[in-house]
Amino acid sequence: MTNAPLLEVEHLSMHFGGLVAIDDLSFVAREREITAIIGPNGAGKTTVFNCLTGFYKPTVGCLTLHHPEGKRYLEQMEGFRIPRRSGVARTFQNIRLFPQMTVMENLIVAQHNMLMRASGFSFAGLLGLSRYRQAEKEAVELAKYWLDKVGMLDKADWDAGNLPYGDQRRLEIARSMCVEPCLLCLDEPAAGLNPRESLELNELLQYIRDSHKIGLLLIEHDMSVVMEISDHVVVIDYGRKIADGTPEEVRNDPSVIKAYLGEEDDEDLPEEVAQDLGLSGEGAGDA
Amino acid sequence: MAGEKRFDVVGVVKDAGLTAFVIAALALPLAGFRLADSPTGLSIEPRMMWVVYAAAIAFFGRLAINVGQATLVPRYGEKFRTGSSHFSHALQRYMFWIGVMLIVGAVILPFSPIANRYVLDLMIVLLIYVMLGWGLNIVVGLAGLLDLGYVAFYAVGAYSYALLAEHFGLSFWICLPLAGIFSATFGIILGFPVLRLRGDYLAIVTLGFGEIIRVVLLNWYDLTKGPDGLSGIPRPSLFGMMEFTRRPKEGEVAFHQYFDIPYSSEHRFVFWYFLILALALITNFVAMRLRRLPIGRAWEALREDEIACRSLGINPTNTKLSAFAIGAMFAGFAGSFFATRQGFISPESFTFIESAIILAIVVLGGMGSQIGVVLAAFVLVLLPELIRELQEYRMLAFGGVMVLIMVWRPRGLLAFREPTMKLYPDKERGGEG
Repeated sequence: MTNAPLLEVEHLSMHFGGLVAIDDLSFVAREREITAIIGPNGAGKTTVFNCLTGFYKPTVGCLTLHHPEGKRYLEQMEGFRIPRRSGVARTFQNIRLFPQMTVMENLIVAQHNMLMRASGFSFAGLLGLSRYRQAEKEAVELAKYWLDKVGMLDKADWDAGNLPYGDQRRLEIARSMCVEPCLLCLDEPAAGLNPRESLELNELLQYIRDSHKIGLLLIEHDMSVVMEISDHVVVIDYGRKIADGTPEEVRNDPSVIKAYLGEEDDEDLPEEVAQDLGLSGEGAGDA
Repeated sequence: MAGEKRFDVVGVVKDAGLTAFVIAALALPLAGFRLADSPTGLSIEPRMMWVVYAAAIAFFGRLAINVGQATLVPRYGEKFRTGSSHFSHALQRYMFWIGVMLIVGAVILPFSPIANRYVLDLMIVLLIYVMLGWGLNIVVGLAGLLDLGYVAFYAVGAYSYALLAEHFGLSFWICLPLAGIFSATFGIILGFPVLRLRGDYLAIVTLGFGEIIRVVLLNWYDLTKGPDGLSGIPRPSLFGMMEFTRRPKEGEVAFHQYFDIPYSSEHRFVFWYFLILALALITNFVAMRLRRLPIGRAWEALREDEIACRSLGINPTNTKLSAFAIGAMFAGFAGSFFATRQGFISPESFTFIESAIILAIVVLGGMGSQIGVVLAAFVLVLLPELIRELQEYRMLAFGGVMVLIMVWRPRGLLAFREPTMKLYPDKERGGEG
């Protein structure tokens, strides 16, 4: 049984002057699935994210999100409206927290739009009306729930900038979940994590998928993460899609191997890269 | 404490000698000669002793610092450092009570024996700057938008009151909110074109805006009387009920008549003092309150990372505009108070140096710190008064103190950020150091 499509990317192209960063890319991400976008450095993965979250206006293409309340055309929306109207949240390759604010405040800022309405655009809040206090209490509860999920409840009052690297990554995921998205876009969440942390991340992402029933879009270089948890993999190179399918299908696809490892014979491959892709002997086919 | 490290005597003396040489070389042209009136005209007199004094002070001063660093710091350095952090923590804990004490002190000041016209006048000026500092703190300290033209909104407020009172005969109490609205409107007008700019670029544009306002005031003679300024600005009455004049108009009762006390020109000063104190405290209250509301957190988040804000659905345009508008509104209030206190305003009062002083108050106080603004305003407004005896060296000493503050506390006098909410209020703040 396949899940309903959540995000449909159709004929997406992004040109920067003469440079073609994304060239006629189409793929579908489904509800309750983790869709991984992989590709060599500079393939245009982050550009796809930037188009989805409104930081870039695509040159050509249609980005349709099947929001519970109706279709949303992301390419037509202003960037800052996308999280609220369409429920697309994202994290960044180089972590973007609010370093001088506490962990808790980071998570409360993520619920800005809900709180802003509750505070009557500050007028009611300024007078200390109870409606706002109630909304703030709920926001704190949601923040505590996600802090607990990422195992940082005891660090709620730390300055975000003083957290260890792994915690910062997890906090960024918790913060984007506080937006209550229906599509979560993660840009290299496992970068810089040690193997144990990486394993915990896998569990967290699977938990988000299974118990919150949202779609995840994942850019990742760490193949152990990609092959382990993704339900669907899209491979792009030079802005074009070169493969699309389940992790097993993708890792045996000759064009993927070519894109990652060049045209040379397989014998010359660096050993660890081959292992990552599951090419070497015992790795193949047992996933 | 295993064995004291012997310090390098020759090195220390050499270093001090080098310092003395540099100072002597600098002092020779600066202080080594003086112009003297002689019967044949001006002549130059050598004054070598001054150079020697300067070099000697530099030599022994440097020597003392070096010796102190070599002997005391290894032994007590750690204690000093942790001590100062304790100091900071203690201050943080008692912040509320310090604030209460300052307010109580401010309220009883006019009734204390030290109060006279001069002191009250000085305190009124101080409070105007405190209020402006608190207003600018919203823009610079919270929202992180460097605004070098803040005085423009102050000018808009002052001229709004003066012109509304002159042409429409409106009273101070009606003009005060109107001046705030006008200034906020100007804040939005300035905000729109500069929203895309950040940091230095924003600073330059706001600087230009401040100058535009001043130049318009200077040249729009029909409306503003240009460099002649506007005079005869009406004084405020006690909430429209009583005047502070010796001889009230026909059919009205003056303050001193109503309370049946002898007329004193100080009553008006006391009233102004409480008026500006109330205005400043309202500014503080609103700023503190807004900081704990979503809008305030969004300002701070915007200061930290604008891109992350967009990804969380915060509208950067509206958030920045609201910071500009609210900051400008308080400047407008302060401006109309300034106009009514002076009775006379001209573009002279709204030059760039005013913006610079207000910004210096915010930066020296520690960005975003409300009590820091009060301390810095004390330093920047009262210090030039206190060191009047230094005469021509006054501004030199003033600059020196500013440099010292920045060396001693690079992030401002009170540079710590109080979180807007705490999950564990009883615990010390974690994750420090």
